[in-house]
Amino acid sequence: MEIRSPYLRVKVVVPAVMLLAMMGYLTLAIEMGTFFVGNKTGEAFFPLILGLIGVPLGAKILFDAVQEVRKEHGGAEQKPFKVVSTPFILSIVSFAYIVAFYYIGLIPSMLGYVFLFMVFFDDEVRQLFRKFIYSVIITAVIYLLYAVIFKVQFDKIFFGLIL
Amino acid sequence: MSTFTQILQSFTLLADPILLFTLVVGFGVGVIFGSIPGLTATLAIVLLLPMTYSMSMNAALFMCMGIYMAGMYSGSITAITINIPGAPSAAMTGLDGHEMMKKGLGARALGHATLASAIGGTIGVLLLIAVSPLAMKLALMIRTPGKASLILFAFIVIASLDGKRWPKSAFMIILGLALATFGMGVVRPTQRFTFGTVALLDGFDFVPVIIGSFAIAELLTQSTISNADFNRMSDEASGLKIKRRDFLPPWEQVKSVGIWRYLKSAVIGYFIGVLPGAGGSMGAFVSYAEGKRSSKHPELYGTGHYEGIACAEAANNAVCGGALVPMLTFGIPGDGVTAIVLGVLMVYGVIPGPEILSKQLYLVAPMYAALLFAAVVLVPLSLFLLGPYYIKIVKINRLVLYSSIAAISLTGAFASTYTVFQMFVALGVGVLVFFLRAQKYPVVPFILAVLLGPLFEEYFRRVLSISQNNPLIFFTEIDSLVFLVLAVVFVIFLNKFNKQIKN
Repeated sequence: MEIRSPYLRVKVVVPAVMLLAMMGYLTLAIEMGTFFVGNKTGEAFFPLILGLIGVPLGAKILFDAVQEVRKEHGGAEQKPFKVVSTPFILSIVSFAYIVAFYYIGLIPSMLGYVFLFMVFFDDEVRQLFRKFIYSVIITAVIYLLYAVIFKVQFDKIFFGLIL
Repeated sequence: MSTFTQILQSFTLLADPILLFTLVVGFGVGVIFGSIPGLTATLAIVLLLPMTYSMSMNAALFMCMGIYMAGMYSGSITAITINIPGAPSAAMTGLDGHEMMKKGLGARALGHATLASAIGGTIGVLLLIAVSPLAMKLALMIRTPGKASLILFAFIVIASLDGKRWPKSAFMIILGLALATFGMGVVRPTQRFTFGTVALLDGFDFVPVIIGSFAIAELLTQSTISNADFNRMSDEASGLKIKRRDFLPPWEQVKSVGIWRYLKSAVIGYFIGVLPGAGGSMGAFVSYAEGKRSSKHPELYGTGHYEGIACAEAANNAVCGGALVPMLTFGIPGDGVTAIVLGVLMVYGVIPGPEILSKQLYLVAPMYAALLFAAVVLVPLSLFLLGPYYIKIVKINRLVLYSSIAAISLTGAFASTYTVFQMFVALGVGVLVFFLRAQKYPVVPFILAVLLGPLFEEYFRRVLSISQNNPLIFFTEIDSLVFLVLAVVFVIFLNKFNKQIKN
């Protein structure tokens, strides 16, 4: 995917998203409605204060970012940049690990996670067998560390089996 | 039992072989994480955090202190040898250290860094021990309005430290405080922002939030760096040969640095460490600048002068002692590492503050002993035993290292909470912080706010209740007023300081 608008860049999008999040938070705080209970402050009081400070702050950061982008680019046509990158893929792999951890257990999910993490973290696809061996060793060590040494109780270790 | 007696008594724990072993393991982990660019002592303690649930508190604290001291020192290894600071606090060390390396005096530079780190670290801990009784008395005088203002003071100082970027620091504080409001209310058991889900009833556990902020975000950041660059650095390091006998700095050079300079640098580092959020980088920078200003040969600084290394390293290791003062006395961490150590203490239900210092000092006193021991063993371990092998650390396979950290991080998020939901929290926070960090939003203010948020809200609302919702109480109560005035003073001072740095 390619993005050409200067204002749809991370420098502006991140502050914009944060401002929206803070506005959402403020709205929820207002909806909660219990600012005061009798003579005392209610549970919505503190979030309301945070929202009232956070929204203008977020707006200022966004304004600064827009100004900065405008100054940097001056309306010239932008070079496209790719949204799909290693951090994005690794985030998806990590998400998949958590889902797999829940459904198939610690060992198979971690084995796959560590292997895929190494594959995508590397600059190119190479030495897959070596990576697989490393994955087995790392999984074994982490399993020993958590399950045996620190006695963490995992719901599933290996496809429903508790080892 | 007096404060000193309790602290001295904690030194007997060093005779426990298991605790000593954990300290040495922590030291080793600290050296590895501190010397590899991109990894930090903070990250090492973050990975340790979920494991502390299965360790004794003393063992966890010993390991943390070992990591802290070694991590602060070992950033200098790659700063000197390949001019890439392993930790941000070692950036100033690299200025002269790498110049010495280019002249074939790399081992000597490492020797000076080790000696200065040990001296600075030791002085920092001794000052910490000396100041503790006084700090405790001071802390006991602070009542609820003062406590709320103290946390506010910490937030203001942290935001001011970032100079022109203060809105981003302030926003991260608000974001952290907002995150801490999810779940049950702190004053009344009312649900807030739970969206009807059971998983959010307990809010966001601080362990997964810390794991996400420091570990996952760091992994994602590191994944943007090409492995080829890292391999080049690794090849460069593997070509270096450092002999053990070259490590010891000549006595004339040590004498020429002078005990006064070591002491001054350590004191500067210590006091900068006391400032919330300042950390080792600022300590090393200020000490280096002061060292250069007061030196007989300022023109040699930056050209491979051992004095510069001594000033920077003595200061950044003394920061360790200083950063523990606000954390132990008021429960306000001085830097990222102490923020995580605060998290470790919270895992055991210990909230540092005047009550703990006055009534249960024995709970936190082992930290003094462990930190002092870690500072002292720097010299024999690094100069006589392991020094020549330190540089080989950067040869560790990066893929193995980072994939292990990823697996430990997410599994650790489960181990600390026993819920898969918190694994998602760790990942979500990690991705968010990755984007925020890329846009220069600082992480430490966020973590401090997450950790201190519930306390801040409680104090703030309790004070308003006492005063019938009159906020003027913060200005009429003397302890509160002192911190608010201090906050204004620091804002003015830090503004000038930031301008000076820029110049």
